[in-house]
Amino acid sequence: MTRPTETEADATVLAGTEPPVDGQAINRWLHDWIAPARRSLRVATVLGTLHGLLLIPQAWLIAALVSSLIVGTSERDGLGGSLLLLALVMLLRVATGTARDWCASQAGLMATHHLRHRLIHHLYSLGPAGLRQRDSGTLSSAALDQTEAIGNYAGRYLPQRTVAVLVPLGLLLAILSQDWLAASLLFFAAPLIPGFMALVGMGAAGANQRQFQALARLSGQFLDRLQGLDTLKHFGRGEAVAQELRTGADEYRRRTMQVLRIAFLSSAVLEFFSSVAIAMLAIYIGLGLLGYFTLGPAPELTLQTGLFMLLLAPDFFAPLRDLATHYHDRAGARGAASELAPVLQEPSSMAVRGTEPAPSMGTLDIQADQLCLGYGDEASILRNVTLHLRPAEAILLEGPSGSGKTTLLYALMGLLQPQAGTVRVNGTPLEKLAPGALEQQIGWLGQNPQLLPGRIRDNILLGAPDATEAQLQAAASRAGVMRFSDKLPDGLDSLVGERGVGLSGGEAQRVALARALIREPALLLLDEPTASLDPESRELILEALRSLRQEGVGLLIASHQAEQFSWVDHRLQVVSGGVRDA
Amino acid sequence: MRELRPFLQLLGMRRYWLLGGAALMLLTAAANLGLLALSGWFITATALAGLALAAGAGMQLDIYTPGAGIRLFAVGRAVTRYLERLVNHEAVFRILADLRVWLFRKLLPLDTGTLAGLRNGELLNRLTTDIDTLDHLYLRVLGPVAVAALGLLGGLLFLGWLAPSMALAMGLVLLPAALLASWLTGHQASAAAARLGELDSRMREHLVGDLQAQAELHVFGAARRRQESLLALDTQRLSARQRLAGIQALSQGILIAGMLAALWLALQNGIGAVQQEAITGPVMVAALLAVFALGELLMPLTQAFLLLGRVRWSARRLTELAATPAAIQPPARPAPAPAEHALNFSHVGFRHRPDQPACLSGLDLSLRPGERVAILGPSGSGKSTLLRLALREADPEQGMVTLGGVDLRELSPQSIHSRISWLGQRTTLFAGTLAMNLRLGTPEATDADLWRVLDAVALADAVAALPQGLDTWLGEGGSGLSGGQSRRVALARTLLKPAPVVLLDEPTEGLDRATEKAVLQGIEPWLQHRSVLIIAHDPWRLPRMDRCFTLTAGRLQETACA
Repeated sequence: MTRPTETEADATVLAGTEPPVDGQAINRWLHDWIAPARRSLRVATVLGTLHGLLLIPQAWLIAALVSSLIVGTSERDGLGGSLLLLALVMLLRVATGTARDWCASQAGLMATHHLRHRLIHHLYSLGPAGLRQRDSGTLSSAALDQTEAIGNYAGRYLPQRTVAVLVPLGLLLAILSQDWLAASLLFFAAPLIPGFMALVGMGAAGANQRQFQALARLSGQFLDRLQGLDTLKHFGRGEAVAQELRTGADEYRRRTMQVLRIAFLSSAVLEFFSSVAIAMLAIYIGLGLLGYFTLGPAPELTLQTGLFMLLLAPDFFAPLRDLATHYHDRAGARGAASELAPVLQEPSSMAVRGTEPAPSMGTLDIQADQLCLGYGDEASILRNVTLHLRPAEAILLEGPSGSGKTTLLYALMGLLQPQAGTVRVNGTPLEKLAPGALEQQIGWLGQNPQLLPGRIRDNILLGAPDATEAQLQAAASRAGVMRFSDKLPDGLDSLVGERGVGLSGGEAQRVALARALIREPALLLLDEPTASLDPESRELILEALRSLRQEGVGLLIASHQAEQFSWVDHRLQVVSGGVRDA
Repeated sequence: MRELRPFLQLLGMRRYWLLGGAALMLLTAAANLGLLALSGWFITATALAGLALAAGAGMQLDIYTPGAGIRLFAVGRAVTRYLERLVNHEAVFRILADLRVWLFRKLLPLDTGTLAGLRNGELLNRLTTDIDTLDHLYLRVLGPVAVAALGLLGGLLFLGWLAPSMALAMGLVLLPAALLASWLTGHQASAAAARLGELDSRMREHLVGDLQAQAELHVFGAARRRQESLLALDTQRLSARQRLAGIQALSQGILIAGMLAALWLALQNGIGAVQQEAITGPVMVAALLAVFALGELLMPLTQAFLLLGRVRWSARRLTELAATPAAIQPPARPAPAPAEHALNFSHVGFRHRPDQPACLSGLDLSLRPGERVAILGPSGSGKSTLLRLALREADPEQGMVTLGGVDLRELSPQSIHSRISWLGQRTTLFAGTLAMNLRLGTPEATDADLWRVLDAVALADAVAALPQGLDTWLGEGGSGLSGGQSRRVALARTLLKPAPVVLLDEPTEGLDRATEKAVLQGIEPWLQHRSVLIIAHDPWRLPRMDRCFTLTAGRLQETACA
């Protein structure tokens, strides 16, 4: 669920479900990330407090007007002045209330925007090696949804937290100035509320946790069945699964309602205490005015003071109620924080780079010296790898899947910082070269071509946005893209991806090859380029590679299908953590 | 609002729960109004009586009835609120289930191309976001709006009976304020809400694509450019959000202003009425305090109408998806299931879209009972389309496909599905036990059957080694198994289904050579006496076949089997 319903809000209040991480650390983390919104927040808090405290003059003026009208003896003609003053106070309340809402929402938006900006920047800097075990759906939900939770916390919960203390306190003091007995009635009712809520909550907490798991399982089951809908249909199970979903949901409802019956008591307690406090106050004032009740300050009660207090009483409890409804924002933010913090702390896996420009154009000579490669602090996958890619050489990197071929290619392209050793590009260590210096001269073709949603044309131009139409056509026809794009209604302008035409694996691979060719690389690195292709596409790709070799383009091909690349100059084998000549 | 109709109909199925919930919401509001108004009346009346007593007059005031009333309203407010939440949540949970089952049933008749799209993030994500948004339709949109409208009218009528001129003054500002705030958020915000939704899904698509293509983006020097364009989308999104926030603050301001203006006008009017002795002092105070209760009813309007924009947008997307005409209409009066099961394609022509070249043209193929036929050819040549036609997931443009001599278009989906077992190109397993996954098409299969078929796909040893064997729980999408194992479970599931015709699309995709060989041998007995149609890239990845064809330029050409 994107936003928790009141149900969940209640449940989180009760369960006190904190993420299983150090609470202090989370507070600090949230505090830091909300910093950019702090000014707006402070303004929103001040405005919110003012809006609440202005209730005091408002109530006082109303009470004074009414009292002088009804029991008033004195100047009835002076009412006009008071009415005018009251209108002024009311205008101020409208202004502060509106400005508070505006500032609070700005604070939330700024916090979200800032955090999301930082997170997106970080995600793009992690590199493919750093992202290799992360699910892109989960990460994008972190960047787009979880950051929203932080904004809601900043905009809705944080200002209310201060207002919910200051305004009731101010109202209480105002009432205290009139009648200490009435004030103490409210004073004792207020703390009882969180106390009772906690008491009711403790029993429900454990049960609640289980309900959340049930909900997660239920929505997981729904998604799972939805994803395999075509298969279910084929096996004639569609209706059966619909029934299964229905019974699952009914079961869930029965169990959840058992818990909610208790959980809702917490808000009922709040409601009950505020109602009863108002009722008691009204009866106390009434009896005091009649003179039936003579304890403490009761004999001094007048209609004006009584009405004043009665007008303030509901608003004494209102901020507490607002805070309770925003409490789920706090829980949401803490959950988001415990997911976002580790992502932001993840170090980049990309190779460290310097500032030197490209060493020389045209030829590319890459030497790897005593490389140890692995991910993060994990044990090295490859050790002491030394190899030399001379210009215009075609090299095959053989080895079973999982032996580390891709890892080696990543390191040679600067996509993975070696744990030890150096990569030299035309003699210059990679860590001294500016970002882009090596990349300008290489191309890459992976096993599963990753096309971006958009036109075929945009995908080919990905690395060469300024290429001419002629260059585009040349690259496309060379990679065999034209053979299928000509049949598409929009040709190279056809959309690919989920909203566009579905390309087969072979067709997508040909687009990926065109994308690499248009940059006219000196060296092309390929990772299992033909592994999952149909024979026709496989032949097309192999043919293109052979002709590239004729033209003097360097090739480094990782593949476990050596028989397809009998024409290479040199073969290397990746086995048992090292690289050796085959 | 037309897009909401199907969802309103769904809500209609739970109308008693909803009416009960709304009635309790109104009761809570009434109790609140009663508590405040009666308290105000009470203290004013006692103040007057107190003065009279002090002046030596006798006691004229019954304090017990109003006292009891105040206590009743106070307790009633808490109790009705508690009951209201229980009833409404019962309703909400029922609707939650209704919505999901409704969506599931609506999606079932869609063609497999669309359904297969559910497997890759965007569409699925869209569906879940939309359905979660629609969960709010009743409790956060319709409920508060209905209660505000009814509560306001009822409250004003009641006050009109007590103090007509005050009620008129209140109504003159409260009603326009409520309408203005509703119009502002409902009308002005809906464009911004739709824009926001659109930007959200574009950003998600952008980011997911980029995260998957990080290697390409870095090597091709496009990482920064793509990052900038994503951030530019976020900036657009921020301004849409700011616009919404502005509208929201403005609308809330209008409501506060309306409520305070009502209070002020009621006071001013009340003063005049009391001075003219049209109403008594206590009644005036009661009416004054009632304004607070009425104002409270209006406050949720902003949120409700803001959400309505989003709900309508989600509803539109869902109904559009659900209304996608099913490519295939089952026959109104299906022909009786054929006794025999020869599968025949005669002069079949097909294209994916009218503007595309023909994918199959004039294709003939007959699969006689017990015969085994393989179709080879490059991907994109239309092999999978052949299977789709055989399953009647699509109808041919020309010619026809018959099963046992009957045109597939005249057969019920059930009779097609019960005669044909199919393994698609993609492997789809489900969360549940391994046994549940295997039994998907054959609920009556015994454990012994399961073991036999697992043995055929060279999985029996691996499953026997699992601590829970057949009862091993697979995660969503069958996670927990390797790619090759998943493929073999799917193959086993297809073989287990006792259908006379078996269609296999790249059955050994993703298996290494040794396993592939074992599987091709192991499934031999399961293919006996069945008609088998297999699709493959490579001729060597096949069991023994009777006839082989290549599919080129939309037609079949017989070729030697490997």
